[in-house]
Amino acid sequence: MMPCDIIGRQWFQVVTSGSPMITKSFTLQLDGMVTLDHFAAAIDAWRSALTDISNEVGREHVLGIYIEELTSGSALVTSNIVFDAEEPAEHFANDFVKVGTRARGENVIDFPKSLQDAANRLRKVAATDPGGITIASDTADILIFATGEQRVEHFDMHARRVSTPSVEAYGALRGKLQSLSSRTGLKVVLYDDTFDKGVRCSLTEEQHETAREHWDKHVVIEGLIRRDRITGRPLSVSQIWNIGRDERDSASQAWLKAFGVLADVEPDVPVEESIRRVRSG
Amino acid sequence: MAKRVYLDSSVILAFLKGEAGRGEHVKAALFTASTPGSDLQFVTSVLSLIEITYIENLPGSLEDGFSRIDDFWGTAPIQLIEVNEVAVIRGRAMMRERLRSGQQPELPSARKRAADLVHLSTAIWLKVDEFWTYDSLDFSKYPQQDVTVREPYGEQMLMPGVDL
Repeated sequence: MMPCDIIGRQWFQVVTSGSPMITKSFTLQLDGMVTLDHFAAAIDAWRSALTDISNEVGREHVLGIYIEELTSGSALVTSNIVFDAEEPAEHFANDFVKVGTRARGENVIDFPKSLQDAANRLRKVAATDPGGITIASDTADILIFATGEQRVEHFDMHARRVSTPSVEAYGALRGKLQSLSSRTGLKVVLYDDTFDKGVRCSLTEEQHETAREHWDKHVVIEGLIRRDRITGRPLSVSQIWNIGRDERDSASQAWLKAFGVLADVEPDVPVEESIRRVRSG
Repeated sequence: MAKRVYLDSSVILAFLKGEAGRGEHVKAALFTASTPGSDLQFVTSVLSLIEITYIENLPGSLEDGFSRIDDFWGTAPIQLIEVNEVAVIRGRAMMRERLRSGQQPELPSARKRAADLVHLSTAIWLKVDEFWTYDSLDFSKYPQQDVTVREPYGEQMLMPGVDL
């Protein structure tokens, strides 16, 4: 791993003394056409945010921040952070979600003042990206909006009184499989058909070959889909149980042959009445 | 800029039934959307597929009807959208707003409302430009201003000389 923030002496001491170490992954993902300037600003904000959260948790507990993954195709960077114990690791993960939630412009109870700058920096980066940016931990995906989506946010803040930035449900996503990374466990990025944004997908070892076969193809991925609570945009898929080719053939005109195929079903009933009967049971 | 239009299942059924005065309009619009480079995009909820499935099993279906309908869903320029929590929560807010505004008595029966809301809230969630239905009377009763509810219309009709 390549250290990007070194507390080398402590790292060495803990490793050699055999104390338990906890590693957690945190990801930053950009969308749209990413310029070098934008990427540089985002990485700077990302580094500052992780450093500020480390300071809040206690630098002595954070043994190192490393680049685990850097994918240019989807402008995605995953950082592994090594902690000396479980408690500060959990503390960090909780603060990470708080910073992301705050960066979305939402109120966060007991938000540490020392992390306000981190939230501001991420929000500033998101404001220059039409698709917003996504930050993610193992347990949360947080979409930080670009300017212009706040109206939607206001609507749902009243509609749903929950504090989580994302919601989960099992389902299927259609899209094109485009980025593959296999440094530690295969990860893929699916560009979904509805939003045309990158969705991170974590695969099991048994699914690696299937994913490689389907690279750059239209697929259907079934699993636990985590969506942004406000926009409903899919952000990640885990617990994937199936990856299959999307058999839809948009070039075919076979759909035309279905014209009038139900002409003799309730022939004298207008379509709206037929549908009403279905909906009425 | 692409125009995204939600199709209520009544519109899809008009095509499958070839209903006089309607089916050809829908066919022409679908044909336009299937043209490479078209900026017209159709979407619908998987609920439409369920509702059509119910109707295709009624007496009168053609012998090869199922395979032709399968081909329709597999190739038609209509993107299927799953029912999801975020979209449905919008529908719930819409329903509550209606209750608060005292307009409840005008609503259709409770069973009808559930399916209507899935369609309408999915359309609003996707920020579609228009919501096409042949049941605009019922759909227009819901309190929302985010989407235009209307019947399919002829703007996308075929160019002269194109034979369907």
